[in-house]
Amino acid sequence: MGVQENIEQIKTDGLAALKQAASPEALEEVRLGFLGKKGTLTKILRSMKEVSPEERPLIGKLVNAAQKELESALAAQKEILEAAALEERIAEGTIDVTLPARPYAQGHAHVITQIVQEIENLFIGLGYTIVDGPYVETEYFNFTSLNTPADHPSRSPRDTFYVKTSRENNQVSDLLLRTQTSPVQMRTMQAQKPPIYVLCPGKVFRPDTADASHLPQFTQIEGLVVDKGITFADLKGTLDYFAKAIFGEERKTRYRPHFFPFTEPSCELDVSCAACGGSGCKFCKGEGWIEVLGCGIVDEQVLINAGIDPEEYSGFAFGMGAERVACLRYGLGDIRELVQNDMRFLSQF
Amino acid sequence: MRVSLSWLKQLVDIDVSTDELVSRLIDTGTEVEAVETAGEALNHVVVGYVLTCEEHPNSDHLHVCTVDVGPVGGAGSKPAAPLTIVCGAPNVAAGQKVPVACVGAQLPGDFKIKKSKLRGVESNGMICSARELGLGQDHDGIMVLDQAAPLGQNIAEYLGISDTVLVCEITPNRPDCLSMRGFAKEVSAILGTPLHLAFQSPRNPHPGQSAQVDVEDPTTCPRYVARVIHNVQIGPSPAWLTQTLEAAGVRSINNVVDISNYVMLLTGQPLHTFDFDTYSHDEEGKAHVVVRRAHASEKIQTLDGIERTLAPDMLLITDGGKKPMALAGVMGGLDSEISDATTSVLLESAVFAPGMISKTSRDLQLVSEASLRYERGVDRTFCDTAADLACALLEELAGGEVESGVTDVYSEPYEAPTITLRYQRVRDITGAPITDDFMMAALTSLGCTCENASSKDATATVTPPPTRPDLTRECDLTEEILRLWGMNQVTATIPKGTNVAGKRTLEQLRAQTIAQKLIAFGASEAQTYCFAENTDKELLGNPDLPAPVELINPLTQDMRTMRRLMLPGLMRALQYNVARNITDVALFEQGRVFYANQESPENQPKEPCHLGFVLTGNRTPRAWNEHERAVDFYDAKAAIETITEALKIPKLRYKEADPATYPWLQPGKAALVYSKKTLLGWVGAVHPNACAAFAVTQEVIAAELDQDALLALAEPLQKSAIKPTQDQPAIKIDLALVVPDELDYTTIYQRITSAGGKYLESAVLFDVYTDATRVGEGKKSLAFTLTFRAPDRSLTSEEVAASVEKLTQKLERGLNAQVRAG
Repeated sequence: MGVQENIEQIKTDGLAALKQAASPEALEEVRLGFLGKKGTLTKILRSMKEVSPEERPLIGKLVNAAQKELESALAAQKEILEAAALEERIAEGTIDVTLPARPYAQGHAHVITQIVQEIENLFIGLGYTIVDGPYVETEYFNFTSLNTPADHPSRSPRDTFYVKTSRENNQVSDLLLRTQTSPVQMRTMQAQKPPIYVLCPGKVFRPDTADASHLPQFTQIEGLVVDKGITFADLKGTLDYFAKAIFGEERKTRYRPHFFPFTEPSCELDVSCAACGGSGCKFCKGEGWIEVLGCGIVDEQVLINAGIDPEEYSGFAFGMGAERVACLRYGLGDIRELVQNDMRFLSQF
Repeated sequence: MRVSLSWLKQLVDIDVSTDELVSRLIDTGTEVEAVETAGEALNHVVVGYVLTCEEHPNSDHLHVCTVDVGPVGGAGSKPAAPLTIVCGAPNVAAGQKVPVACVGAQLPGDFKIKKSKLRGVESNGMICSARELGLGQDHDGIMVLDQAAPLGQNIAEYLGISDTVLVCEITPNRPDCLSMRGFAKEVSAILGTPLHLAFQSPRNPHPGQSAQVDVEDPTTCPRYVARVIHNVQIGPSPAWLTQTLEAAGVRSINNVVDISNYVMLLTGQPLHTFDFDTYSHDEEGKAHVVVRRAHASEKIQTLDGIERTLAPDMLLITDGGKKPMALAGVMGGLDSEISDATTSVLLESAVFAPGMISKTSRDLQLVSEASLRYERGVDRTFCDTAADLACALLEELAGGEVESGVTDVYSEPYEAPTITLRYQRVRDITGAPITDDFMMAALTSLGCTCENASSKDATATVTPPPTRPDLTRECDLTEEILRLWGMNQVTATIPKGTNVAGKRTLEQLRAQTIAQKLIAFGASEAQTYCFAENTDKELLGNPDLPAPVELINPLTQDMRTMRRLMLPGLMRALQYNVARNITDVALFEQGRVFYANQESPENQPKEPCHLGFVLTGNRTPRAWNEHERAVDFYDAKAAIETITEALKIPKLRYKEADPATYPWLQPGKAALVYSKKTLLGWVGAVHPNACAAFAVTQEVIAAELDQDALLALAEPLQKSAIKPTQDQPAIKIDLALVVPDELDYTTIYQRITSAGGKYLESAVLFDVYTDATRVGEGKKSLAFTLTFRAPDRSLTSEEVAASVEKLTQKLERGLNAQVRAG
């Protein structure tokens, strides 16, 4: 066999051997056998001096070509083997993706906090700041300054918790648990010059025995605006915006004249019932409307009590119960659940 | 207030449907809570006309009639074809007007009228007897109606037994609407329809004036009208009166009492009727009524049979100033009550001071129809007219002889306020383009007199009617105008609000951050009562706490103080869960606690905001890929430190809590938390005794921090400078120390960090190990990873080895520790 045939044979054998190599180790063995220092192709290169000078260029070319071909086949085979190995590793790593997630303790904000913050955010967007005040209030701030007549039933011990003081004989007292967050409005008006745009969320207290729709401690969210040129139309625009944002764009609003000592004119805001869309159903007791809050133009006397000139400034105020919003939003039937703190209840929000 | 529509229609024209009326009332501020219909059972029963009446072909007693029932669906709709009806009554005849129950009617006794065949002839309804309609016992034959009965009219309507009652909520500012007179005026203003108000006087007064009245303090009783009626025959009231009262929700008693109730419902003037003969008479036969304040502890037995003990701020109607006959404006006395034996009546039509009545009513917990009206304000100009009307009715319905003499002590005459109304002001406040003319018309329709005072100033002078004590100021009139113009007609706008920007304060944002951190930690937010339970202090092991805030009128005696700690409320919430087999609980609450503070000028207490949390059960629950692990003290520390880290509060120190001061904490497993010199609160395992006291049998880890103190220590925003990150390589060395058991971590840690040299970046404890044989009795092994780094270059291992060597020597000498580094 001549050298040329020999090279051809080595190449053919080498390519076949490479194809056979099924592991990186086998592949390396083949490489060494053909292309290594002692490999058959290397041997031919080494024995080039035995080749006649006129044949040398041709043989050299052939050896180089064979070497290149073997090297690229080696690389190709290496790639195939690596791909197979990766595939195998991936196959071994298969898991049941339907197994449960790792337990991860996630806490929950109380639904009332969430509602309060949602409403706060809404009014912050309208330029309001958030204020609060003492829970134990004076009769002046809770009632008198807000235009509540001296003999108004809301002042009676049946409607207001009174707090013992050192000065009184502990039968009557001018200190009480606030029954509304309105005293915060009065404190704000007395402390700050208009323009006033504030939201006063907070706990309030009334001596109601807890039942499905009453709690002795609940959460009120009141708002107050005092500025130049504030109108009833502004009150409507603000509360329409609120009602749609909280209850849904498609809800309609209705303003019903009402009476509150703090405001004049006063009204209540209804939104159209979500369950029936306003045609009347069990949920809205056939009325098509759900009462949401009370509101009105701040009574002139209240502004005067706060040291604000009603000829220069006017304002509006509104107040709602966060628990009521929770009932309307989530269909909560018994508000006692809000203070039971059952983990199963809390974790739904 | 229950408003009978048929009564209302006698007083004011109503030209709209009931639905429309209700919606107009609601839109103008009268809440209609319910619409009740009487006579509903007689739906589909109408007046029919018998066109023909033939013998039934297959029966000897039945008749086959064709009956015209007029337009179906009320007047104006298409007439229905005459109905064929089989009738068995002997008295049925062509040409009669009769009540016809059409198909679909449901008669009393749940008797449904259906299409049927009677002996082969189809019958499409029933001609009814009085008994079948539930209108009497007559069953001898069908009811034959008057020929004038309008064809097709509902039978209940025709017979006047159908009525619709509007159940209305009257706001406290509208005493006028607590009467039919006032309600009719309101409806007249809303609908713009005429009123028909006229009040009778007695036809045949008899000479005489047997009542003398003295009012001791006119401010308590501005007007008192007394009339005397003799020879009254007590008996039942006529049906119209009984029905009227019933529709209004008032039970009929006898003609005299019913008349006084009727006049009150109609006019809004509460009346009281005394048995005249229960008063002592003077030589002329006169009774002497004295209106005076009650003496302290004076007693009266009121109509409801209860003996009431009175106070000097209550007003009495007395016999000559001595014996109390009635609790003025609230309730009559039992002794002077009208009885079957009464023959002479002393009628009172008076006005009392609203504040006085409401206080009496409140103090005695006694509310009556009269007190409700007096509290809100009664029109004093009308006392005489109301008394006259009552006398006329007593004459007419009880055969009484009315004395012509009217005793009228009118010591505080009504003074009408005059209000200046600026038209533009109304537009400025409402933001609605209401015309001057509309304003005038609206106020006039409500009974105000309006004069255009000055066209230059565009103002009017308005005098409200005496029935409207709520109208005293311009803004009161603005409300009246707006509600009649229509609140829902006002175009909504948003305040222009120049120079206002909404925001939360830094403190509010940081309070939210605290909650967010605890939520991320895995705790859920609880909301508990600010009331404490009386047993709380004892359950906690009787700690010394600041003086509590106490309620005068607690809801229950168990809840008469305000909380001083968050822990009890959270323990109850935790127990609520554990009792329901929810054993992994992590709850927190941000809320106020209350400490009495009698030094403050208004006695207002201190109300610091506290942050409390309770943890129990597993921190990591049992799962296929997780080992379950019970929550422990160090979890609570982690929760606290996530907060202090977020708020950039200077490094915390923990000191063991003194069991005497914190008896609710387990000794040796609880700590006080300090930052700088401020005590922030406590953290620890709740004492097993306290757990047991709250009916919790598993370990509870709890903490309570002063949130106000946390926020005060939080780093100011401008100081939060960034520390540069280090790019130079670090060298890590593990260091194990064997030290005496009692040596605490903080001491060791401080020694390491102070002796580690300037390149020691951190020392992280990764193992704590005790083993008598391998570590030694009374000893423990602590292992740290030390990280060394220079900010400006790579440290050499020789430099680090030298630092470690120095550190080792210092620890061995200073702490008597055996040190092994590697």
